[in-house]
Amino acid sequence: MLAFVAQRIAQTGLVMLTVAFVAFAMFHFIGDPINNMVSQDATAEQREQVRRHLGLDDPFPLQFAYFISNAVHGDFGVSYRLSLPVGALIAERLPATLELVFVAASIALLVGMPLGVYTGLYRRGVVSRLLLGLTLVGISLPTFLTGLILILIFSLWLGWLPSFGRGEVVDLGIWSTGFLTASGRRALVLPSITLALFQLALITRLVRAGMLEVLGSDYIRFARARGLPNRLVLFGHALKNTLVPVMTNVGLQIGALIAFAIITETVFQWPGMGLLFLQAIRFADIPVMAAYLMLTALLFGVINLAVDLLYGAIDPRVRGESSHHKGS
Amino acid sequence: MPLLDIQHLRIEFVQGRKRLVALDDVSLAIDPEEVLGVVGESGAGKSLTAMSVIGLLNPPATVTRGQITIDGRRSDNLTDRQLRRIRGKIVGAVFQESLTSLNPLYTIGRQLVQTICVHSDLTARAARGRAVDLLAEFGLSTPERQLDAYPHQLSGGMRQRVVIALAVCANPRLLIADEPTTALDVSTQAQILAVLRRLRREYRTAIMLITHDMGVIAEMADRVAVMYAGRIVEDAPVREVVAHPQHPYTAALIGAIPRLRRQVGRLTRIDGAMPPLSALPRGCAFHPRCPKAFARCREERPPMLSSGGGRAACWLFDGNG
Repeated sequence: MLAFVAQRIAQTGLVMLTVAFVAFAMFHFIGDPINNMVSQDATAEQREQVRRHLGLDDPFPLQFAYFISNAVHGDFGVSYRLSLPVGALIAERLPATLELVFVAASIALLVGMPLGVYTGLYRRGVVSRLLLGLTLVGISLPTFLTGLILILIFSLWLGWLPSFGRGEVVDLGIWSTGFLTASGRRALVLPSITLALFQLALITRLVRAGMLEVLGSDYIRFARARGLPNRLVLFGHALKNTLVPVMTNVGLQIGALIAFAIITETVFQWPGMGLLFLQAIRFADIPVMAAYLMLTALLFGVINLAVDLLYGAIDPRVRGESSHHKGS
Repeated sequence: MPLLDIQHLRIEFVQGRKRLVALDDVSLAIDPEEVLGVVGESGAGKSLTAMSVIGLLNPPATVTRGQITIDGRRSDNLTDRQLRRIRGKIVGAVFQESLTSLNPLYTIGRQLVQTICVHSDLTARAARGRAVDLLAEFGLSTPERQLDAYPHQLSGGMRQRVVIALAVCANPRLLIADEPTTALDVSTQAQILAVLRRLRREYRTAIMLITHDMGVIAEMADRVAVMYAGRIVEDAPVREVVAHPQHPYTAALIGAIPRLRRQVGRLTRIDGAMPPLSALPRGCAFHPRCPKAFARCREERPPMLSSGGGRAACWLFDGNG
């Protein structure tokens, strides 16, 4: 098990290194960073001086090493556009995005899994067919449209919920949270539902498909053949086996939530990283883009690492303990 | 009174308006403590017959005619809840694939304890003791330690023993063993057959042994039912069947068993293949492959007729018994 964990962590590290390389390469291939720092009429000599001062004449591998070492310490340089340290900019926006993604993922999982189990068990029922039809709608509707429809109904017509912003937030050290105020919680409702809807529909369908496959398997038939009660067969044997393949997909989907958050944040003017990133692209603010890229990759990596470890905890075959005591 | 009595069983695959008769007019009985061998090619209907006994036919297969009586009580019209009192307790079942028959995520100890607890009032601790006893009895070395193993950590033969232990842990009176040795190598196969013999000797368990291996049948069974294309074609004591097979299909099966001490140089071979259910010929389903077929075989389907020491569905025996 320990070797398994170490191997997964090493793999994640390798992925991060690759992403860091891509992020770093952006500085070199999207224009010369010196242009952004010196005045237009600077002489070639002055430019060289700045270059030497910043270490930009160092060999490429050395520069990359500095970049990595700085990034590990949370230093991604200074935003071209805002002239503020990128680390601070991100730290300010990160809580908003993570809270949104957390709530959306919770909705998608807590609603999607039971719906998947239900539609898998009663696959011929009217309710199941109706739900499946709805999941198809959920998958096909683009996120921005869902958001706009929700705003139209709940903000404009009914006036129940705010249509933009995060509401009041409370600062807890470096983390600003919207969970602790009524307006913060109300502000979360529409964007998180918008963000969750696609994943919810997808998870429902994934769990349903997994459930159907497991229910047709030999060990479920054998469990029934030895007279185990239905409840035990379904929730003791079938459900856990369904979770194994579904978990991988769910992990990837939660990673995707972070990416999808860009659109949701735009629709609801949510002050998160997605909005920051979109503005950075518009102004070719490379330090911000590089930092966003690496942070997203890190979150993806951590989620997948967690899924892999969970996998090992659930499925003994993954832990690689073969021939534990073989031979008779 | 037979322990299991199947009368005129008919199973159809119903899909929309299409109906396919998979099993027709199958009647067979198993007495207490008897070992009945059921032989036939793949698709002959052996497993369908077995599954219908414990009410585990996969849809769209449905029993459309006939009745099944277990221990004097009709079982074909029971609800799933009522059937659960039969499964495991009166009729146990073992399937071919031992690896896929066990839940890969739980230790075998957990699966055994769970099953034992469902069928008895034992505490978990006592059930664990019973599990150890069962495994030891079926020839697993260090059963205490094996309880903590996961299915994938055991060899095929060990897994099949665990599967049998699971099927018989509530002392059923009948064990349905559907190709229990097919996926195993020859020496492991012999060990599993020894386990089945032991079950019969010490627990007086009747066994319905399904296989396509006539050699296994000759070794294990008291009586044989030979199936072909969804029907029983011969039903007779095993000694009769091996020495004097009546139905031409049975004769061909027996002729195809290789034997060490026999002078005859050639094994017989049955030409052609069993027809698919969707294209059964008129008359006797075997007539296109039968060396002894005559006009009547092509027109009328033969009923079971007495012949030799048993019964066979063949016009050759019309009027002689």
